[in-house]
Amino acid sequence: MTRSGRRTPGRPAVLLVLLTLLATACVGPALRDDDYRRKAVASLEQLEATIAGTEVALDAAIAGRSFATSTAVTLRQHEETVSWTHTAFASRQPPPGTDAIRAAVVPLLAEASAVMGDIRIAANRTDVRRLAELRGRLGELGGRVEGSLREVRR
Amino acid sequence: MPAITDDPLHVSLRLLDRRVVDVDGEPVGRVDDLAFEQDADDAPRLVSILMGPEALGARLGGVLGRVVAGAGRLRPDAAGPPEVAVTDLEEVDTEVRLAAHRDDLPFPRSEAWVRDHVIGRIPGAERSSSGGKEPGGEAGVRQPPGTGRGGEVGRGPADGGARRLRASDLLGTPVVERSGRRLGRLRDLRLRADGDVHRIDGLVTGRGVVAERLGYAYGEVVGPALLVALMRRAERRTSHIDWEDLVELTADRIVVRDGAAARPGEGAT
Amino acid sequence: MKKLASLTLGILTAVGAFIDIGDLVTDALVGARYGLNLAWVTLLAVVGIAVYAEMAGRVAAVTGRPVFDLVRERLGPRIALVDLTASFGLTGLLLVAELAGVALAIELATSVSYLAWIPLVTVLVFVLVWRVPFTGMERTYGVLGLAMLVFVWAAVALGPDWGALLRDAATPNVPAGEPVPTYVFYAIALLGAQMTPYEVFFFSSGAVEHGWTAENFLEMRMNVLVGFPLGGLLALAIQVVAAVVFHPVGAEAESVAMTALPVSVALGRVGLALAIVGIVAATIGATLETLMSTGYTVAQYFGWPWGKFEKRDRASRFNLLLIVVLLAAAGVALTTIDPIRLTIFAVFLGAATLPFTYLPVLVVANDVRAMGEHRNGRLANSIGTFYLVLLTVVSLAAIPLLAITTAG
Repeated sequence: MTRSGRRTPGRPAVLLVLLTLLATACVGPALRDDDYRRKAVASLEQLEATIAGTEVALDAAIAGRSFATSTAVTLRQHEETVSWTHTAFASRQPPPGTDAIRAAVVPLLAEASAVMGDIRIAANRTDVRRLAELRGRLGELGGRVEGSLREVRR
Repeated sequence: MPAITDDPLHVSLRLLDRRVVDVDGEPVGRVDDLAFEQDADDAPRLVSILMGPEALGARLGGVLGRVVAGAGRLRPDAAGPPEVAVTDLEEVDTEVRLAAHRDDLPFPRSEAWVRDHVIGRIPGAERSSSGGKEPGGEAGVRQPPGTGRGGEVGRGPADGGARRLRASDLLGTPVVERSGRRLGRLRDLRLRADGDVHRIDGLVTGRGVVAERLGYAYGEVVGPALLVALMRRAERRTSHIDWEDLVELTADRIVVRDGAAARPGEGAT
Repeated sequence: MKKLASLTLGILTAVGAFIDIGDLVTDALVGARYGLNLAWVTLLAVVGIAVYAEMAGRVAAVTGRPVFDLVRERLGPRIALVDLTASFGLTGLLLVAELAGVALAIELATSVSYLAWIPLVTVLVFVLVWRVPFTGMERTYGVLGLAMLVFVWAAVALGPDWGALLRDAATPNVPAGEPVPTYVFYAIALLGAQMTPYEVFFFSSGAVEHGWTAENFLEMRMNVLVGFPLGGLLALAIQVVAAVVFHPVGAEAESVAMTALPVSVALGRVGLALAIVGIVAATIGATLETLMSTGYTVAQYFGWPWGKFEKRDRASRFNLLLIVVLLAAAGVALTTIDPIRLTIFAVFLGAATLPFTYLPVLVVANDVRAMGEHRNGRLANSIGTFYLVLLTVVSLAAIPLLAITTAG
């Protein structure tokens, strides 16, 4: 007598599919205006949140409440986030009729990238005066991001 | 004194997948499968418990089962999975206790192999005093007849033309009445004491067998109320069939007499 | 003093498992994003994990059998194998994240990339597993993990409007502009972070390693009653400081650095130093726990002898598995996979596996034959049933939700 009545156990295949979905969910092409607009809003929101976090970190650093090492790490991570957001959005193909959105958002992202770079450099040199100056610029940039976000959202 | 005191005994609740410990309560494996022998027209009697991946693979079935079973056959002498005769068990209760000490068992071999070839070679792996390979002299290690070294532990008496069956051969097989009515797959086996052996006395089929495996069907698990109620419903979807009502037993199906399936409470237990 | 020392299993389980990388990240993240609108999840999780840990500890003390032993015994080889695959896989992912978490915390103190620290942390963990007895390990990380109390201190020092925070926590709602599915996603992730399956694997196996019996119930219950509420307090403190510092300005917190930042803001460098020590201790504790738990689940499924240190020569396969898993996890961590996203993903799916893990515990805790007079009372059964139903719903909702929100 041999074995009978086997069933295949498990659902690991489902998991695999989900993992793949998850991995690809963030990068698909933006084909329609709505998608593009949504990506623009998401990018600006990400930028806004990162700038706000950077401001908190900078304030702590300027007030001498944090170690130079941890400030450097925090700022490096935020710079990476901003430049990743910038690259991801700038390299997206805008569908016809969305050039205004692109013209509003991409320069902001580029500027933010540059400022974050400057901040990281100043932080690594523990140049507190320069940091305070850049903190002001960042605040002003944050204001413009907010305005642009309102515009793009309409 | 016989190890098995339950009568009747349902294998999926009381035996299969239970932990196997040595005489000191140290784990040595799990009951991965059961072996039965059938002479002539008698009902099959339980002869031994089987352990290890080779036995487990048969239970799992499918490709995965073959992979697991294959891993078990990597041992140098592929003479079937480790096996312990029922007569060498000391106690079958909430776990299965062997009469022997773990150092006197010829298995699990992979444990010893890994110890000797891998773990033992990593610096700092000096042995603690309690373990290792002390010969079983200390504290009166019980080594009942038939539990000797070298694999004869329940290689099982295979003499004399008895038909040998495994629980994994039987479980999962579709059960049908002679008229063709399907009763579902075989989910559990009921054993009864017959002199000093335990024979298959009944079959349990149907989808409600979860109540048996979890322990609700026989009043051993008494709560919580929600599960008790759910399991009572599940129980109604099981059928109990007496072994005497069996007509034919093949690899693909089990045929029973018409009207043999009794629901719980109708007197089949 | 002896009584105090015996509380360390609970403290290690609580600080190392409750406050692991999953919590450090998720608590700060939801605090920054939702204020205290998800604080109720922590209360829910503390009660749930305490009830099931007590049950699992009691079953382990009376029967000598830890959780995965029961899973195999009651769910059968096939379903238990699915549960094993899921639990082992997700605990393994968490191990990767914990290793990276230790390295990320050290990075904060040194500014040298966390990738450089992973090999060193791996060696340290190997030495700890290989050379330090269970109780020693427990005490060191239990005590060092108390440095995490700095988050409570920080919350007090920030002097928030407690009344407003309490109102937020008591009347949770989805903040304006936040999509509801994402809120639910993070609620489940938080629940998964705080009720991670490996907590009960570790606690019940630890109870067996300690050789606890019915005489140790008091000790076991003290561990549960001190450990998990302590973990919940720390989790809430992390949420509070993130809510106070980040939520009003709309900053997002998705890193170990951002988790620690509010402590800098509140307490300056001393506080930050304590926070880093606490995070390193907690994540090392969690690394050990996740690692051991992967070994426990596999060994208990197959019926291998298992046990740390004292039984190494008898549990060689278990110990070999620990080494292989540790090396594999270090390898994955070194691929620069984002440990933070990995964590959120793992804790979220971990919540979905919980019913499989808890059902056998609840069943065996009601088994007259196995537990006798020590079986569940009405209270444990009512709460246990409530959580089983809740977690089953969570489990069913998890996969569709993951698809809708693409993991937040």
